[in-house]
Amino acid sequence: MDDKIHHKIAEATHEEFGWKVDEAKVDEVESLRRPSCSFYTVVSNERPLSYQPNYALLPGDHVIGIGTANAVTKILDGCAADASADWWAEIITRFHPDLGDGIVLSDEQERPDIVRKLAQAGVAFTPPQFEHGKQGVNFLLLEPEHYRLYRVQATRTPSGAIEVNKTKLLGGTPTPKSKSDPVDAIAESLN
Amino acid sequence: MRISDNTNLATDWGDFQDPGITQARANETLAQVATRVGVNLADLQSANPQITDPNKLTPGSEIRIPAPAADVSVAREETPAPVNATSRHVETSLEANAMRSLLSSSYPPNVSAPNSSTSGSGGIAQMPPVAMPLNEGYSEKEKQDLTDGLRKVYRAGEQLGISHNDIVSMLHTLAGNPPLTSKKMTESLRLFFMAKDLSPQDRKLVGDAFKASHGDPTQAVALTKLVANPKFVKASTQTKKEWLDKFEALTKRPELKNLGPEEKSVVIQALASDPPPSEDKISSTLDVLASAKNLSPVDQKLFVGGLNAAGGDPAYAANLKKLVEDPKFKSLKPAEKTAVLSQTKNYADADAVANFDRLLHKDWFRAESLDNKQRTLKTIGRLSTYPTGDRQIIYNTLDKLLGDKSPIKLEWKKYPDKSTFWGEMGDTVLYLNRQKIPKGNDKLPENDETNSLAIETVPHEVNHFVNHDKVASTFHYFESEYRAWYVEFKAEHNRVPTSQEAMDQRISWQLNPKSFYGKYAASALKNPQEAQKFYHFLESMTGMKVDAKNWKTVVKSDPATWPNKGQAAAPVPSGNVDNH
Repeated sequence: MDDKIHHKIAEATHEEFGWKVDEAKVDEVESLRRPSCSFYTVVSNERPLSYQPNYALLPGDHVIGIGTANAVTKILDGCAADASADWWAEIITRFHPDLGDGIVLSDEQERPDIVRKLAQAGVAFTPPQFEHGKQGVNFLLLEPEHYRLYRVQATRTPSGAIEVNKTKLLGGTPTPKSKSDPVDAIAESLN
Repeated sequence: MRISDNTNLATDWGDFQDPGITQARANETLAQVATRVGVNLADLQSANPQITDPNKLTPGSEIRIPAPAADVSVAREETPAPVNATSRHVETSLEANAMRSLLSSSYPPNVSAPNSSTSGSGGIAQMPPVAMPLNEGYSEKEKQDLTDGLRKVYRAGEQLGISHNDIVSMLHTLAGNPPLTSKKMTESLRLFFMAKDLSPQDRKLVGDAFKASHGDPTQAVALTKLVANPKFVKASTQTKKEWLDKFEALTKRPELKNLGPEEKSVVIQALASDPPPSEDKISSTLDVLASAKNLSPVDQKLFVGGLNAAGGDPAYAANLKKLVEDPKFKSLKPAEKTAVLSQTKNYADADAVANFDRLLHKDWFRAESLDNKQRTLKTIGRLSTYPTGDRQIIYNTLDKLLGDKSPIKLEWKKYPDKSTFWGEMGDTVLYLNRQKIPKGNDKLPENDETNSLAIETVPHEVNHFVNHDKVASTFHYFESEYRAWYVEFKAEHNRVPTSQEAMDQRISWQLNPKSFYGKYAASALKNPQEAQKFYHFLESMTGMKVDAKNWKTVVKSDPATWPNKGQAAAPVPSGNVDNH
């Protein structure tokens, strides 16, 4: 990666997250590279922080981050020709503000623990799949920091925007409830 | 207008779920049913010849409750009929008698009360002094509402396992003190439900106290608190009587007469907390209420609402008084005062209020915008009152944020990602994603998002702070991330994780090369000495032999195949694991 790109991405991280330019370590995500677009993650080499901001470099050296308005739309418009469902899922996960980060489950060998838990819950593992004539994609997304698994359905609207519907399948902590009060439970019948 | 047509009432009662029938509950014996409904076991057995094994009842099966002989005979005179039909009609007549008895015993103030020695001891069979519950001036609808309400209370009382006698005692009081609001019904039931495990004598005292309160729901709430207090439960019947009498007498003190209903409720609840009731509690509560006199009307309402929500807790009241008298509070802008007092009401807990007061002494809090003050207050309120976490970790975490000498500052930052970014620890600044916590004076919604931020992220990041963690390509850094997760897990669940939970929820991610951690771990694993530490850690987690050749396989293996089956406690990380 040339220094110019590195610096451009590090500056974008500084603007969006407040990280110092010299603490940003920029890596290209080669698996996402497209003929006219490249993609990068940034880690802080100072902060014990798992979050990795993502950036796309589009034709004309336009840097797009998750904070860029309509980031997903711009990337799909500029880079998605003939891209796979896996690629769509990765882009939507990394650049849609309602998703942001996480592991797109494309290969059931990657997280056998999840596959086991899905099987126990009677849910089949499915890799990312196109829907609606390639105007939508359906995939499993693991939010690893809090170990929650979601089914994501992302659809392109006629205007080109991406609508995301996220349904939790596994994980999370049930909200602790105070000891159930049988009187409260019966109180509704009194109204 | 008098209710003169008891026949109609009887018809109505006959439509109601048969009070002469009860249903067996799970694992209940016939003897337990007899105790529950307040009849003799032998009579109950005779009335239910279909029951072949009194110790093995089918849950949900109907059990006929026998009536005392006198009433049965009256009923039989009315209904000469074949045995089965008679049996059914006897019960219907008993129901009618019960309703007649119930309503006729509900007396206006100018009518003498039924003999207290008999009320509550089998009302279905008694014929207390005849008097109508509703005088002239009540509409048919009001009378109907009362009748309907009494039916509902009867049914609910049965479902709650309140003894038949106590239900009747409660209905006597409610019928004599219309209107029958849902709050009145609910709180009456709560009181008798709370008292149901007391001795019959003690339950009668409670019933008498309820009668003396004229069914006032505010007093019912307070009496419930008193009855539930372990000191009350352990006290002798004589002491219980003295306390209940004292409570009743104090609720009639002249100091209470000029108070509004909310303020009066605060005093009554304070009287019922931590028995015995005493005059001191009135004066100290009035003193607390007086401390709100300079607040705006909105804030006064929040102040009193908080006191009521705290149920008369003297520690809460003392902390709230201290807070509003604190010069730091007085120096807040009006909207900021409302923000603080809103959360003292939403999180009506003595510790939460003390923590809000500590917040007021933090320069960083006072410098925050109103929106961010609201976010901070909610987060601290939620963490302070989280009911099922590790209290020591939560207490220590709060102390690190709010302690006098703590250098940590909290800052709400607008990150571009509103979904998966919760927060991060700078040198001494805990940055939290403000998109995760809505502004406003409402209570924090209780869901995954708010749990993740308040209960997980805050203890996690504070753990990094107390351990001076730094990013490095070492096992030590790997372990420090595991430690911070281990602490947040305990903070949330109040237990240590199992090995499987640790592997699934954390280690597999920390060793995944796609993750931030995985990149540093991969680098550390290239160093043979560091790699040995990783292998040893995985061995302690799985019970398996781990080396350079198999560690990746071990990480993805099914915990059911581990020698410890994944159910052993996860390894305890080194370092500070309770945020002290």
